[in-house]
Amino acid sequence: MKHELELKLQALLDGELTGREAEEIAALLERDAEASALLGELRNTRTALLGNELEIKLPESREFYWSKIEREITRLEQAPATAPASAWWAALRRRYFASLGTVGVAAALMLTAVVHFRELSSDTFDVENLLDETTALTFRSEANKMSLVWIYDNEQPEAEPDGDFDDDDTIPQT
Amino acid sequence: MKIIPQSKIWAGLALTALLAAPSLIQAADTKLEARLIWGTNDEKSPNPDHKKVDDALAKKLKAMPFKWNNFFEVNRTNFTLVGTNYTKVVMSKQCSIDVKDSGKAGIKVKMYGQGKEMSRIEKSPLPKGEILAIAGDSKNESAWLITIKRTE
Repeated sequence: MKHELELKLQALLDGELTGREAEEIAALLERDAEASALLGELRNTRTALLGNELEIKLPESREFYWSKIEREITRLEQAPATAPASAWWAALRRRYFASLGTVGVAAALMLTAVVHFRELSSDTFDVENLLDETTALTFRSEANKMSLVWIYDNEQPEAEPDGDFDDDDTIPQT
Repeated sequence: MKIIPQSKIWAGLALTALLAAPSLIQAADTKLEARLIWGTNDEKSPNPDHKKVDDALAKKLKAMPFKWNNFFEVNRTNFTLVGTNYTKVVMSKQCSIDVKDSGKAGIKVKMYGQGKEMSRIEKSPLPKGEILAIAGDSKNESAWLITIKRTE
């Protein structure tokens, strides 16, 4: 059976056909048993639906019910007006808060670098004297870029002169 | 396939660079120059092999609180510090120094006289051109000095 005929049968049942169309379908139904059977089935189905459809009664009046729907529609239409604020907040969170972990890692790295390079750049000028009979003094000349450690003998501040100087004389007096 | 966020990639690269930087800094060899110098008021050294130090160093030494006017170079040694181990530098028959990188862009020096360790000195940092001088009294109202300078 053609789909067009099925639609026409449904339209006949719904009373949507013109008088001429209804006559044509009625003539067809007398000749076509299959179409007649389908019409009977559709009619039975419609009858069953109409007889068993649940009736819902509104707890309020019809006007009040629709006014609630209208208010809800109005509220939803006004919602986009406040959306930019939440969208702005969401964007802020995505852009900044989501990368908070990365910022934390970067801060930790910077702190490590600062500590490391502060240690590198810290000026240390330490002298550890290992002999009891000697003492060390330090002097720093910033202008001459020279740091001096002067080691002198506590007991023999000056060696006996021998009138000569060679490599052996250059040893520290211990 | 799991996609790694770009921020994490950058953080990883930064961490790698940061961790690698100190090792790169320390990987560079430290080149030093050590001189044994005699300070005196005598115009000439008894040893003709001893030459007066160059004018630049003489000017610096004269600006220091020394009572000597003349400084003669007895010995000069250029050496390179590799890694963090001590390098022994013999300045004379009975005077030597052990030098190593302090790890803070400076040096640590062990000073030996007559085979005995006298003192340990750390100078950090020791930038190029900066001089560490270790000195003491010598005979005949003279003085000995060891100057250590970073050349590279």
